[in-house]
Amino acid sequence: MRRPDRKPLAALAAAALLAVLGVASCAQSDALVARDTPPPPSFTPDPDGGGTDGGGLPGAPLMCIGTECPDGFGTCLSGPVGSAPHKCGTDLMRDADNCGGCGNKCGDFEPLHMASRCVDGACVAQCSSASGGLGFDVADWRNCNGKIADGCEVDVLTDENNCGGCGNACAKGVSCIGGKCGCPTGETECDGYCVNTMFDEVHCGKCGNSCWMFPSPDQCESPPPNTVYRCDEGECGQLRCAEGWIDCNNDLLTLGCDSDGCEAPAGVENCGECGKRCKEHESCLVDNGNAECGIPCAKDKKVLCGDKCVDLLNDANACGACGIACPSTGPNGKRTCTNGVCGSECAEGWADCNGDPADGCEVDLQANPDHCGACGKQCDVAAGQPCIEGKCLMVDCDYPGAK
Amino acid sequence: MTRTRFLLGLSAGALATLLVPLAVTSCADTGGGDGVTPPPTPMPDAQADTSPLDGGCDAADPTCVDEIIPCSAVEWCPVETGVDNLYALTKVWGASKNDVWAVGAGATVIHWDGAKWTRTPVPPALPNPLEIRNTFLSIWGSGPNDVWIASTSSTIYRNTGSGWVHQRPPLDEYQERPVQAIWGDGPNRVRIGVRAFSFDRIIDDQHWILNGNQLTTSTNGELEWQPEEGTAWIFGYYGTPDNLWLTADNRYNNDWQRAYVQNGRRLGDGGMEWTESEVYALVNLHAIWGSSADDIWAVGDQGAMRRLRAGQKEWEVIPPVTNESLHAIWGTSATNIWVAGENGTILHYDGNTWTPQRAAFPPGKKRPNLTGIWGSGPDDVWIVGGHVALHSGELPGGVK
Repeated sequence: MRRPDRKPLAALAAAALLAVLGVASCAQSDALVARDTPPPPSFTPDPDGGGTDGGGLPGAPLMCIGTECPDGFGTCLSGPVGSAPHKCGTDLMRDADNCGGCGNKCGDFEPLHMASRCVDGACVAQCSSASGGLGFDVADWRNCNGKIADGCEVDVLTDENNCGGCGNACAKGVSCIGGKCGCPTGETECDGYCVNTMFDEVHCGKCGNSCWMFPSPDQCESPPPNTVYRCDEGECGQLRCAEGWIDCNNDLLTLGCDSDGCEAPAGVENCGECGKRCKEHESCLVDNGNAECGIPCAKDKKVLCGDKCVDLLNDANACGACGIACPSTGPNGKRTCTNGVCGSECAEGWADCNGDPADGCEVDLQANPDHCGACGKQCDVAAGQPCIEGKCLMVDCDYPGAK
Repeated sequence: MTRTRFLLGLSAGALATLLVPLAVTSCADTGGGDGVTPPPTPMPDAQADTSPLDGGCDAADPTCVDEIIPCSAVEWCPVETGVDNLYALTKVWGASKNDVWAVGAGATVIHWDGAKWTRTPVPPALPNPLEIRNTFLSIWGSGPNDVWIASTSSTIYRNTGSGWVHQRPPLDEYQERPVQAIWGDGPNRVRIGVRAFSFDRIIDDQHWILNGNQLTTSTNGELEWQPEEGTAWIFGYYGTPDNLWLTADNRYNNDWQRAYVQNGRRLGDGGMEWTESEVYALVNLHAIWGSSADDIWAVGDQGAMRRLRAGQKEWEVIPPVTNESLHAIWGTSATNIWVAGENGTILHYDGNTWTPQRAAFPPGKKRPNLTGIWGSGPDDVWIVGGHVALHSGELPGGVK
């Protein structure tokens, strides 16, 4: 099957963006364009020689070598790092730096909350989302009004008229918080956040009632050992055990300032309750507020490295031991950790054909005509035969450039 | 063709330490001598008449074993170890024919008593009270009651006959380093080779921060580790305490220096003087071994082999007989040497020619990456790596 006709090579990314925006649908969740994306077509014949890319009959072998780039491929000097300028080595259908033609770069349009990628040789715009992180709020931008000019104008995580999706309006006076109208049962909205006012130090009992600003007047002059005042049951200034300590003789609530406080350390000696002692080599693990004895990370068959559970058998950053990272590889290589032992291999589609570790996996097997699909598998370079998707190009003998 | 390379390296085979001449001591106790022992258990799927291919790996994968190979038809036969296939074995060393140790991932330490492999427990590496799950990368012993294993600088263990005991770490917790090489440093002394670390030293009343890559200690009483200067990541040792060779990767100091071999000579004051020996290789040389001080071999990635003989000023470049990476070398004489490496590679040298040897690898699984060799003599040799322990020579009960 032939690849669909391309857009004109001179199509600019912005033009493509506007064109696709024009048919955007409000119903789209994360893309402005409903566009079928067929599986990447191939321009090389089947291994059995029965391909028809060269225009022959189905099942007929392709008898001549091709010398011109097949539709969808070009020879662009610019491209992603590592892409050597092999003849026909640029996939114009998918290369975001050469989308539809050399130099056509699919851009991002941050002010309109949009990004674009190369699909079938055209830059296709889609709404971008901020994933959070330092200095960024989480956002999920959508084009709810279908207009081109304002791009993806709605954050469905916070918009009361489009909460969680375009058109989902919250009831009057109810905020949209994290893509949901209002707060979960048991929580109250305070300053745009859902809090549990029963235990929140800043919103204790009601929004804005900060325990720090309004301490209880009858607090102990010197609190009992290992105790703190905090918000409990919606009231500030409640004398309670500090984190990591337990009141095993239950005198804190009855004797208050005169009690011996929280005298027992939580942990392996008193795991979850007084006197519950963990076995040797066990730790007191706290999960969702429940404390239980166990081996950290053991249920996932992992090991505790610092404060993380790590798989020493498969993690290249901790292979066989916490903190022992596998050695770096050369270009286009990747580190591996298999059965607890470090290794390295070439990234998919790349190979180390010269045996020099300094340049790593230096050959692009998909496009290099000297190593097409495998090291040493050479195309007819003198005749101009390119390597397309790991195979030396063969075509029908009446195809342009056929030799 | 894609490249796969495992990065173990290390003390080839490891003869008993203080060997003078080097090849003799390791064969000293080969008699077995413990009377009648039950026959060992070969791996079930290594038998010619048993299970069909279990389809454990992709048949199109050229590294997959797609045939049932009878042990009787090949030089090497897998022996059941009881180790879960999840855990790779890495190294093997023994004090005698019936006293062999193999180590690997998941804190695996197994012992061969002449009849079977048995897993031995390894206690936590205190102060961390949790069960140790590390991959042990190195093993060496001076004798049956002085065996050392290590994963990292904080997980070094010694067995003096009554189980594995955690040893005082030579580096602080902020400088955790993999330990791939252990060797003797003289009577009651041990040496470890690691990835480079830094240490403080006062020289002429001036405070210096230096790079180190080796540590030595007396083994009597509490260990007092002494650092030695160096920058390369050490993979393996071979030699005597007074004339020692090491192979290493120095690319972290010079990015082109992946093959780095040094010779250490004992000085009058007890210290070692290390001299770089140019081996003319661009790839890692993972293992080093010699039939004597006058005949040293080093092997590594892409089938690289180098040899240095007495009277030669430069290492001889041996034409590669395989493109696979080679990780272990051991032999009994200058005319009887084995090399093991990735993808089940086993080579034997008869003094003139390197010849590939075959093993009855379990069908339906990938050929393992072989990383350790040791033997008590020419008719009792072990190779370990991946999920297998291979043996060459007769075992009790007529099993190879």
